[in-house]
Amino acid sequence: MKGSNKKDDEVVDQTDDYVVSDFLKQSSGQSEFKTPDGYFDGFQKNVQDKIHNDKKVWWQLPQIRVAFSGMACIIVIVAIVNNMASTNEVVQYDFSKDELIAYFSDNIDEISENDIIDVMLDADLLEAQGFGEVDSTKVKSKINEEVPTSLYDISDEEIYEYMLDEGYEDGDWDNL
Amino acid sequence: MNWTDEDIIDKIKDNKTVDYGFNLLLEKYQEKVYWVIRRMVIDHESSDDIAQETFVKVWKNLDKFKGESKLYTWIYRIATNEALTHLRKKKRRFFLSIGDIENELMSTLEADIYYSGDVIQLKLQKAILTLPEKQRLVFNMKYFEELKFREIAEVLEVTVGSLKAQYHHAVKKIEKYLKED
Repeated sequence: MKGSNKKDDEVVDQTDDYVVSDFLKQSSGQSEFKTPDGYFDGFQKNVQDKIHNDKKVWWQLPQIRVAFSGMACIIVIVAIVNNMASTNEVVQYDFSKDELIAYFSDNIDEISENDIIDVMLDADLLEAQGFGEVDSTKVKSKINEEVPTSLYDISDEEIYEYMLDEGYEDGDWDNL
Repeated sequence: MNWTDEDIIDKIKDNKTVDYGFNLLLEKYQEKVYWVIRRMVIDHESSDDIAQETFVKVWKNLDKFKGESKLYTWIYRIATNEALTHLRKKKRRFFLSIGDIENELMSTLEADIYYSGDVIQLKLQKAILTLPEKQRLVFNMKYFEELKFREIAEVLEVTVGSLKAQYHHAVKKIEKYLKED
């Protein structure tokens, strides 16, 4: 610790130093701060250990980590872009009629007639039944025109012709 | 053998003797660095961590030391920066104000098993702890470490004039505290 008789050519106002050193004259003068026994003997070893433990392996170097992160980002972006492009491709793909027929011919056992009718548009259905190309907006009225909605809409003559076509003789159906 | 800073730098610059040179540096400065830090952060455990971290930084930055400043002022600069950073982190971590950090350091001092100052010394330490960080640093380096103003100015990168003013203010505050209490 500094004594009051210390020579310091830089001290401009030596009374500054005397204030504290005069106060400390009342003290025992022993060192106040202490360290554990042998602390400084092991200090060098502790620092050396810390330095060696701090040495990072090559993949922990900041430059390598930044490079790997960048590459990972690029890979993810490329994967996302590719995925989006391939999804669009499927959506936009236009199957030819032949391809569709070939597909449904191969899988016809798995698809019932009702399944097909369910997914077909009314216009397609009419077209398939031989009505030619049909304007989908007029489909409903056409259906109403062509298909009787009730048994009372069928005339007696039509019933008569139908029964004859089915092999019944005149009057046979009176007993049905 | 008493190695000069120039000898140590020469050893460090030579790849064959760099480890030896660093050990010489550690041997020469470990205690000085420790005490500068200890008087700032008070408790031994933190001082030990900061002192070790200081020398790890010295080792990592040896190639950046161009010899423009003296070796010891460069090392002291790293040590004081580490100590001040530690105190600032502590303030932030525990949301402490300047007054709170003084009280916290005083409590640490009183509870520290590695502090055995008598009543007079404890009173002086309490007076020093009332100073702002920079003034405390200047006072400790000037009074306890006996560094010259020119050397402290080099460490803290300030002018000698401002240092003298800070030291004067620090002593006046301490004097006032000792007379009042």
